[in-house]
Amino acid sequence: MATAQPLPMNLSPSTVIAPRGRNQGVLVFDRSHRVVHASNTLPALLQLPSEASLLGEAVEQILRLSFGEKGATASAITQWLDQPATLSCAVIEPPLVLLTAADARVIHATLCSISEQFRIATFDDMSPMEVQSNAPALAYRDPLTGIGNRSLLERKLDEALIRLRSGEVESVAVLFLDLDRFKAINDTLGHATGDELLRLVCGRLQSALRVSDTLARMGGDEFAILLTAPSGREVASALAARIIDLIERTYLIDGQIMNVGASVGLAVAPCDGVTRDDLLKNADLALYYSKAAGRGVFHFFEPSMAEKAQLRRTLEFDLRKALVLRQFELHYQAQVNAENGSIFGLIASLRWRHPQRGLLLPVEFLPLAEETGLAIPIGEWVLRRACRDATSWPDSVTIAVSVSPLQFESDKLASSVEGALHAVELPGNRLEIGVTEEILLRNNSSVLKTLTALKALGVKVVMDSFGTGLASLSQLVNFPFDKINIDQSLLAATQDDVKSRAVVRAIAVLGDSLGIATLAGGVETSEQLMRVRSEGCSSVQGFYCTKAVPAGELAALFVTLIPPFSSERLDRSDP
Amino acid sequence: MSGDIYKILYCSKNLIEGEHAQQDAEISQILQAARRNNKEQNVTGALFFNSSYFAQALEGPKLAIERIFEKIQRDPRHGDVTVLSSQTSGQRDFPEWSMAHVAPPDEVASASMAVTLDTALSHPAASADGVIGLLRSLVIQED
Repeated sequence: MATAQPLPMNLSPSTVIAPRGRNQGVLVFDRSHRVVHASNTLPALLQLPSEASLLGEAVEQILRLSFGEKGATASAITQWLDQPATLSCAVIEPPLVLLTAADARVIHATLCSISEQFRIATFDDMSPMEVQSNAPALAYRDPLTGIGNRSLLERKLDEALIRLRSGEVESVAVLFLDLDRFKAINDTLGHATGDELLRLVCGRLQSALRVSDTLARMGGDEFAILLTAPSGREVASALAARIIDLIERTYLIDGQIMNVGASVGLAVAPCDGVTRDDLLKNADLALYYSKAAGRGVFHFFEPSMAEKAQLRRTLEFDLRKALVLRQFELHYQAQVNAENGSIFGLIASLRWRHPQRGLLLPVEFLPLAEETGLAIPIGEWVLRRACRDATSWPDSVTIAVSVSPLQFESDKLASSVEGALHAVELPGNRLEIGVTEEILLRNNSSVLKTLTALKALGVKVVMDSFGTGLASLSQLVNFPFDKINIDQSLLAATQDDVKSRAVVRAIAVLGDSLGIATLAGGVETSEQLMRVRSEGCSSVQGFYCTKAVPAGELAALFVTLIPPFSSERLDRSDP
Repeated sequence: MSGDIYKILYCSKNLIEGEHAQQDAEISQILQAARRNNKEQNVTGALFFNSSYFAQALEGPKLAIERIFEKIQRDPRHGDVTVLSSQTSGQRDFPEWSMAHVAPPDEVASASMAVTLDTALSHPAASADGVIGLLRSLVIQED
């Protein structure tokens, strides 16, 4: 017998090795358990990569991929593969019964010795027919998770709607699901972990479904489930609640513990639509609503959601025109020394003078700007405008501008800042750039690169709204911040909220020992002013000192002491 | 076996419905299945339950623990799973038990377990050692 171990002549793939059908897969391997042939049915049957990529791999490795260790451990499989054969060309008993890891189909594996050199393993799908038909063919399969893809869902939905029209079923429900906080895991723990998480999510979803339900990955971290008979609202609600609970449970991947959430939207035919497009669109709208409603919840589609989506589209259309039509303006709020009340800086706050809706606050349009990418050109306008306004202020007064995560990601932030400073010849040290906690969670090296480039321009870099819980103190000290702005939510807490007070004090102490200034935002009462001062914050900002005013009203601010620090007010509120 | 032992300890809410007898039947079924599967995968551990909570310690090869933990997460008989600790270690806490059943011998021990778990659920990170210690002491008393 040749040592190179080519397939014996009488075993061409078209004869003995040909599988009987889609539900049978065949694997030929040599004495060292290396695969020399795999049938083209095998990848779909066992949810493996293409048959070509299996050649030369160890059989044990392939079986582990398909079956995990359910039903048979690695050592049991090796033992089984090595069973002695008394006769050549004989079936070796006993067969092995295995469960596919991804969708728990029952596979019977039979071993046959065909010569001293080669053995054939035959895999037969013995699951009930309805389960078998759930294993999607290649064109309908999501390669990452092995479940169906968008095409499968659309095809199954079309079939279900035909049965709905013929009266065979009473209702059909479509459930859209989107993971919350998945991006953060992908960004911080890497794509391999993200992919594994998606597979575990699929497994959990599958474990909650009936065989008649169809699960599909629509792309990214978005999944859809089609529920046919019985699929009324009660069944669908129970499933949605169960799925959210399952997905939110802790994951353990490669020794790391992680959590994601799930938001769900549902649309039920016939009342929410009778065409494929309407149902998918409405389930998506309901999902969007759930995400906006705080995530981790499910909502059924309601016609008002379509109206809101229409309003949002209108707002987006208006927002796209607003820059050209010069509808944006900047208001400024003073940042003052906590001890003597002197103004050392002004923070820019964007307003949109909407022709019909009046003066809009950032919270009313910035999330939309961020979503649509408009945050970048709008942010650049803010930078240029703020720098220009600052040239008319006393030299000692800095201008603070907060940038959005999107602007930060665009990699052009440092050059935009440089351009804005140069255009009006404003020295870099007059500008403070505020960044959100969110960016600390992203790719450290590129974040650090941008922050360093900003500092090289002489610009001060400030951590905005710190203390909302996203970033930790240790992440804070890893970046070269010049100032920490403490989030106003920590001040809004009542006086006896010991925890919030302790957090404020900890940040102030940390800042003090690292030589980083601290500013308490959102100071609205004299009591809060006294408190943050006693906790050790070096500066404050908030309605109690001054509200945000248009650039034209600033001149008055620079010549008078702001009210809370005039001696009269201080006397009254100082204990 | 050499190599690191991966350990995980979690608490969860007991969602099994029905009378005591029914609960006991479910639990003994859980224990039997766990013992059968764990032995094969070189996994050991301990399980405590009362009418409100489960607490389970699992230890063994990392991959096996991850697979078992994922299966546990899919189980509808409990909810609100809080992981109290997960770490690698040189030695096992429950080397002799594929899955020990922790049954407090008296009212006092039951009450102390309930209080410990209550605390654990509100301060997960701080109380892992306490729970493990209690699980160990109660297992040993049972034997």
